[in-house]
Amino acid sequence: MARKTPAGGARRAEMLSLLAPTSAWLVVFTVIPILMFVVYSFWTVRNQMIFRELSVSNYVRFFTNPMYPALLLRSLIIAFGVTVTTLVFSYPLALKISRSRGRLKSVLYMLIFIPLMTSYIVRIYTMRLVLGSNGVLNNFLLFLGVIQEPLQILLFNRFAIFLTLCVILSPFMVMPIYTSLERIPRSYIEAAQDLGSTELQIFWRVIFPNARPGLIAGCMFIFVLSLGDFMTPILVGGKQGTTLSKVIQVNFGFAYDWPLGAALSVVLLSISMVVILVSNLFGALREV
Amino acid sequence: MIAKRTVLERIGHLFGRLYSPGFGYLLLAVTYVPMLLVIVFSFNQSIIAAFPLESFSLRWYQDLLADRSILVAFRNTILISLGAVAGSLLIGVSASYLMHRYNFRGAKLYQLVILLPFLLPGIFTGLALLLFFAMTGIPKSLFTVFIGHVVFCTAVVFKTVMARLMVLRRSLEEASYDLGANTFQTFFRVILPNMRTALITGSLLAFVLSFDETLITFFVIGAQMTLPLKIWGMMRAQFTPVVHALASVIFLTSTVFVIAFSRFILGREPAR
Amino acid sequence: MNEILRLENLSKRFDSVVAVDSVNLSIYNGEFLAILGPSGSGKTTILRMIAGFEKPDSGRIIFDGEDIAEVPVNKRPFNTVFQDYALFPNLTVFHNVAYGLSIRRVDRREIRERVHEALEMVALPGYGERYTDQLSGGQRQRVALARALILRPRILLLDEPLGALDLALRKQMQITLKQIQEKVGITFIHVTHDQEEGLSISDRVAIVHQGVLQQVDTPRRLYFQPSNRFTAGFMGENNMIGGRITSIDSEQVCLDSPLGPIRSRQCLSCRGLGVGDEAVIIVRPENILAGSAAATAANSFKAVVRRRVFTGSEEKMLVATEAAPQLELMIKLHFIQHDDQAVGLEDSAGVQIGFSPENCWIVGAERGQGNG
Repeated sequence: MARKTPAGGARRAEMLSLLAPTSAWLVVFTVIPILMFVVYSFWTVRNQMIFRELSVSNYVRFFTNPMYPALLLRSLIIAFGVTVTTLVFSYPLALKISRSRGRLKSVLYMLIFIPLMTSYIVRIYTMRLVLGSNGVLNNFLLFLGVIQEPLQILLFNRFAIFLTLCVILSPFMVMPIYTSLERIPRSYIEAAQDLGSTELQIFWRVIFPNARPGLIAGCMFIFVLSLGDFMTPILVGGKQGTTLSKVIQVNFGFAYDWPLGAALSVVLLSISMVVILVSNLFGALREV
Repeated sequence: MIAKRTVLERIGHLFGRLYSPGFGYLLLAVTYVPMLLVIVFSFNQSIIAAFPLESFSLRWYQDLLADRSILVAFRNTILISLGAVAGSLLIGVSASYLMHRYNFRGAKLYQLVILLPFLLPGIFTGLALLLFFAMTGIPKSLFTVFIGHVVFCTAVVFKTVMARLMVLRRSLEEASYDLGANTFQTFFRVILPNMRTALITGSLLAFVLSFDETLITFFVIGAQMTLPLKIWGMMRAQFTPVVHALASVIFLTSTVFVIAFSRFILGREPAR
Repeated sequence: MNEILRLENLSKRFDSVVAVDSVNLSIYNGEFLAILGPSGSGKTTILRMIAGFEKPDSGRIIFDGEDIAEVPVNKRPFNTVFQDYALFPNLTVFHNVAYGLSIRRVDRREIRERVHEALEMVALPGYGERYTDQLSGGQRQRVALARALILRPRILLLDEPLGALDLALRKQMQITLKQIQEKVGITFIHVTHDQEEGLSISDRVAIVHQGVLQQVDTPRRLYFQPSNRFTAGFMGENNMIGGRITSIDSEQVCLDSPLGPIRSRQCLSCRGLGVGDEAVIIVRPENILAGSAAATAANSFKAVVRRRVFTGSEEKMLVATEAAPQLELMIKLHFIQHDDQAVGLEDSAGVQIGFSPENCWIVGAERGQGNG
């Protein structure tokens, strides 16, 4: 029956002495920037100058210029594809780690943890190395005689983005699923076994449903991260592989249309927030 | 008579035996092989990153150490990461203690705002901060990178510490108050010492995440360089195999870090 | 005896659940008071309100003539021994016990002396350098006790401190607690759900049920003169027989029951009952006689043995009267009793049972309000 002792009197002062500075920091460096971001998306650029009058022209541009929705769609498709593919490959790995014991388990866990802690950029680079026309994979296939000429399709296109993202982001899927799996009490599985279920039944009826929050969390991560990633398209996407996030980045770079970039970001941000909130409904944030 | 396994059951069993480990190891292989190749090539004499290998050589590592800009970038990254850890510990621990001890309106919102920079991809946090700094006239520099990293890492420290606080026995705090201590004394004598593991874990995580942080840094950095951005620059510019050496060093550092970290965590008994 | 603490109309609710309902209780200086009740009865909440961990929704806590309900925990001159001991894992035994003193900035030499003294009192001399995870349950309990007592509180509050100990240890600790209390001379308020514990070491016991104080009295009076149905039913084992009151006077109450007419003496718990009311008569198994002695009792019935139950130190029998075979009564026979008819009875044997009006109580059919 332990409750938080309610604030009152001198306690209120104590609480405020912690709440005030931390809230100040949060407001200044998180809330205000995000709000500014949204406000910015309603401004426009004319003659290289930021015009600070509210207008929805950026959003109008987004909807009228067919390029932007197409880019958005492309980004969404890639994000979706990456999510599904990583799921298919990550789930079994999470299962395997969860089922292992002792030494093997620690080793496998570390093997998944290390990529999470390794520089993002480094890992994109490794994929570029492998996929290039001069790259290892091509040379390997040439060597085997499977192909006569280097495959061009591996790099600098949407497929490369897709493949790279799958490999880079999979630890983000394995981790939450693994955490979820670990939380399932052994007694559930043992009870099911005791009652005569087969392995497949146990998986479908006991394990899978109970690991669902982790699965949702993983999908949420992957989807949102794929949408927002621009480094991968820049490094391995080539001319063909442009995504919305890349365009956003460009707008903040040499294209210098910050309001447009902000507007496009708001679109992506909204979609990401929707995904996060929906996932939260399914309990994803508990597994984060 | 005990029933024999049906065909369906056999398939299910095989499925479990093959699919699970099979795809699992495949994923691991695909994740690690490229990295291992980079390491191999970093020791390769030739400029061309392809098989067959030429002779073993350390020249790329030597070039790496000779490149001053890389060393400066490395120093910058370390400084920022240490600062980010300090800053996020300060804010993260304060915020989680606040939420743990007091009931206040808007607690849910408070928590969401703390976690948001971590949940959203770096591009959003980075852009938002970029706009903020531009509008308030704060020049982009290592300092702005430091702020960006603190915003990002606070979420990690917050979650780690919060998780520990939630399982900390309430009676310990109550006993402290009962014996005459005030909130301040209770925090420093009872709570802080008993969440040592969480603090260390949080700090280490924050450090590594800050060290490798690329997206937010990309937007808010000034003329200087951090290590990840240096690699980015090297990747866009003329190709040189020094990149391989650098990438290998970073990867191996992370690996050693994780191993040491896991040993530490696994070797400790959590205090009740 | 002078009063040291007084609870006036103390109430507390958690969401929609009323945990403590208008409790009025006086606590006297130097007494060992137990607050006894089943789980969820509100006893712990009462203790926590005295300590200051919970704020009452209404009512007053009067100490030294002042209402201390608003005074924060760390400023009250009371100390608590927690159910899980709450020893600080990061400090040695010495520093745990010294904690309160170091908060008060007592000087180091004095701390050393007093800790030494405190550890001696709980029979743990020399344990100062150990860490709490190296101690057994009983030792931890004693450290918690020392840590609280060293601060010389006006009242010591104990929240089911013996709950986690095994039987033998618990019995030992009960005696130790009583001895320490007598030696130190301060007021102890002890919350427990264990009847025996409450009865054996306390000067007075307050029975709580569903947030309502049922009765506060010495153990003996609680056991032999319960004031309401709950208290009568809560203490010891009971047989309950329902019926309707046929007559009441200053000496006796008569009840008509399925067994037949039963006579009981006038008692505290009969207050407020009138002729024609539904009532319940309560008689303890050890007060029911069997065999030739039963024939001369005022309430005597013919019965049949249903089953014998052997629990080591005593023999119990389940019997049913001929008049009301659906009602089973439990009676206890001690091996000392060599009644020719009682000993050696087999199942289905006939036996005469009986009890005197002095050894039973009548209570109202509904739960009654106790007094403080």
